[in-house]
Amino acid sequence: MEYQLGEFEELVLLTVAAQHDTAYGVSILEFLSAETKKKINISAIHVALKRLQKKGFVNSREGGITAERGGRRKKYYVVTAYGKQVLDAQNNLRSRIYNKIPQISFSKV
Amino acid sequence: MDHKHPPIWAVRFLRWFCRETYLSEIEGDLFELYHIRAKKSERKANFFFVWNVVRSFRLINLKKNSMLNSTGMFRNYFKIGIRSLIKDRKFSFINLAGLSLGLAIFLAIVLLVQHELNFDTFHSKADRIYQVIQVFQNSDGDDPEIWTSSKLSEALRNDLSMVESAVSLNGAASTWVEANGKRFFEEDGIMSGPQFFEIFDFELVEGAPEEVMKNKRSVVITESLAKKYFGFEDPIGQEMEFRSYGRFTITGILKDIPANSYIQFNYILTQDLDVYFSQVSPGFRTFFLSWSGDPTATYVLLDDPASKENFESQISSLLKTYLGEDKEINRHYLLGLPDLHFNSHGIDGNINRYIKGDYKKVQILIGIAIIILAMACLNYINISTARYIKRTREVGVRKAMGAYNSQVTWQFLIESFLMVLVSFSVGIVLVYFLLPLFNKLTGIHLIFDFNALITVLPYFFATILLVTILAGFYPAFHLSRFPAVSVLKNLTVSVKGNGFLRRALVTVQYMFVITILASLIIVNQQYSFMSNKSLGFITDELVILEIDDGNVRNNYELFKSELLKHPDIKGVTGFTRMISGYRSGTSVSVNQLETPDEIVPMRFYGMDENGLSLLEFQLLYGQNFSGIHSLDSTSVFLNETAAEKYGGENIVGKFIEIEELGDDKLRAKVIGIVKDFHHQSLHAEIGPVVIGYYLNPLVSLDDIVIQLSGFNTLQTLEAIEQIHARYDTREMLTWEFMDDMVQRAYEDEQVFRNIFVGASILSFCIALLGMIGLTSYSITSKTKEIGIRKILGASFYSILNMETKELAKYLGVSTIIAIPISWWFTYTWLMNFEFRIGISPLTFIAVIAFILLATILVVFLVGRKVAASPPVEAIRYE
Repeated sequence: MEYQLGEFEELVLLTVAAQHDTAYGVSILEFLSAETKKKINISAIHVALKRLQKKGFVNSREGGITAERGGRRKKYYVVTAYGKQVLDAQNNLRSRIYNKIPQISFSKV
Repeated sequence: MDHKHPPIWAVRFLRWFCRETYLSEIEGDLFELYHIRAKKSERKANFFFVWNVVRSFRLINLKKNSMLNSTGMFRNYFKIGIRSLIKDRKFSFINLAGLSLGLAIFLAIVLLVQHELNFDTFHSKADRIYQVIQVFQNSDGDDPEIWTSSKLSEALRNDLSMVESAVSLNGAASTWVEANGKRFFEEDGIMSGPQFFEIFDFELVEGAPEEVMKNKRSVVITESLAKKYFGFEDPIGQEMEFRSYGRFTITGILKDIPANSYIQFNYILTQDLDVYFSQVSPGFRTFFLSWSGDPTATYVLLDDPASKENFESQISSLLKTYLGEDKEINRHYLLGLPDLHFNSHGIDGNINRYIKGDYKKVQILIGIAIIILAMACLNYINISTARYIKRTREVGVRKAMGAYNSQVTWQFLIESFLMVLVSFSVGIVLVYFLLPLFNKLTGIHLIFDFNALITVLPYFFATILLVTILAGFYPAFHLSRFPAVSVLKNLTVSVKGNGFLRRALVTVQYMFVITILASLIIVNQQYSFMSNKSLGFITDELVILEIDDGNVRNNYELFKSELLKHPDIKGVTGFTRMISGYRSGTSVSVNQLETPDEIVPMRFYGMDENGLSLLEFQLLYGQNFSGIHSLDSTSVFLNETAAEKYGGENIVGKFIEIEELGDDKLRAKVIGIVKDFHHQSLHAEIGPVVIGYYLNPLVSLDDIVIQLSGFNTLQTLEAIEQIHARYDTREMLTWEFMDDMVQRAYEDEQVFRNIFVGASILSFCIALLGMIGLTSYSITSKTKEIGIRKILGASFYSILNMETKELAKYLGVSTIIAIPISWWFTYTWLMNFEFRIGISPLTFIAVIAFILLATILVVFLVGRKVAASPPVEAIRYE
């Protein structure tokens, strides 16, 4: 299975999968900032989402209008079946290689 | 729900650039984040909102701009633009080359002005470095000089708290130097103390600034001097033998001293007592080593520029403690190092060869630069406009095909912008390659310095924009506004307006040509007047020997008679100092014996009994020296100006007293009056002069003047050197031709003259080309009219005559405007000279005649083709 997935894109894709059917820009931002303890800019998430959608990993649907959003609709994202496959493949790859690490103590530096 | 709202402009910006499909999501998210943040701090939330908008400004989010759909149209603009350039390649070339050349000259002058205005600013502490100026009193009143006591710098360092450092500095005597088996005569050395590099930032290539001057008998030399003696060997640690000072060890190598440094030198010796004394006889001991002499320049580094006044008030009490309460103290003040270049006029003394700056000249240079740029630009605008007139049909077709006004406007503006940009770039490249030539012309070593150019960059862009808009104005704003049909139908839009524009352009062009040519001629007339003006004595075929040795002085009569035996030596005379504009005579105070209080400051020169006849001075009254030493040493001549102070010829036979400041008075009998001669440069008026005998108690013999026959000059000079070597065994003979000596007074003028003449010749060429271009455009645009005239029976010559007459009218109008301008310009400039030419109306008549002739020639050359062609072709034209 061939696919292209950047590190940040992977994080966003994971978040979308975790927040099933309730993921949108701000929720993803808050979730990721809390998890990674890093400052993330919203526009980076927008770009990542657009790329994921273009690659077919996620789908989107329009949500309801709220006042805080200046009359704009939320855009909710859902992982597609293909997106889930990619996540699984990625996870497998990681654990396969991880399991090959010998059980020894590593030098501290 | 609160009523907070993010900055509206940021929201508008977002909506402006963001693609509609993405906008809803992005704007919604940004708003939501804003409201979360705004609960804590509205200010921070505003800031983050703007920041997020900026971060969202990415290519991926951008609207597909409608502009991007017009690339095809843009390509067409380029194609047509380039085709129209190639169609008239002659005039396009003239046009672009003129602008590039004008720009190159402008940039070169900007570099020169930058150089002049940035003297000594390369020292990092430049704003705190000062030169101590001592104000002496002499018969003329205040006499500020840079010379101070050699003790001063140490006292300042020790006693004044605001003085961070101070150093004394001397010029070193020109002397023979031997090192690494090579021997050269070196000028331009200095001597200074270990604090030198604490204060100044001359860049060391080798050696540490705090180390190199630490030890006695050290010398730091410049890279070019090092190369001269040591080639590619390492000079550090090697010894150099200075004839006047002894052996020194090289401890450091300096980068060559920047041309914009007030202190110029090739090598710097550590200063100590031995060095002082080897230079002078023991009699000068007090002068060099005590508080009462003034042999050195003193430089001070203050802790703060603000403490300057404090320093000036404390220095007199400091001097009192060292000199004694009862002594008269000269006023001392500080002059900032970067100010020295322009503000040291009237202050005597300088270290080595250096030309003082002149604000007036810098202003004139700036003026020339601006005029040249303006001219090149206007020239460009003129020809461009003429060229664009031809593109009326293109505009018509474009509009018929559906182009908007704004599209036509932008097309021509962008085309114009690109052309100007290309010329400017070519101009910059031109300066880069022409700078060596420019340096040769000016004698100033300028470097192509990007930093210097950056300071003019904003003006540059402003100029580019202005020229762009003005050059493209006619097609972009005028042609674009006409309805398509009328543009296509008439082809020459509103003949009236068009004609006026053309007339105005030609007139302005003529004005430039007249102004530049007239100024050029008048300036040149003044300079040739100056170099040809008789100084009141002869200067041809004279060689001046500088005498440095007591043995030659004491045996002058013997030396002279030996010289005179040579067949090619016509005459020999001795002077205390040869008269020349570049060095002035000894300044003395003179009074009549009966009226000791009426003191007149004069210049003193001494000569022997051959002087008057050899140099052909005109003796108005009295007789020459008798040749009897005892009698002649107390006899003097006055020049006319001096004699007038004492009632003219009546002074002959009376006694006067001459005093060189501080010395005993010399009582002397006036034995004659000499006609006024120019003892100073032609900038200065002739002052009172007293001429004494060469053997006098005031000044000793310094220059021997030899008149050559004009034949076998080289052999004669060799013979003179051989004779001199028999008398002076220590030093080589130094000599100079009188002509060169006279010219030396005008050295910096020469630079200015070269720049001015070079710049005006070039800009004259540009303007002339422009004139030719415009004239021929003016004729070709009337091809149809000429054809009709011919059908109606006009002859070849009557058509040329008509054209010439019309152009002559414009020439007349521009003459009326240009003559006062060029007259005012040259008149102001001539005011700088004490002896100057009058501005002759003949100059202007000649200029106008020349331009009229040029016009007729152009009309003939261009008009010949049009006027001689069959009328049918002319009518079909366009």
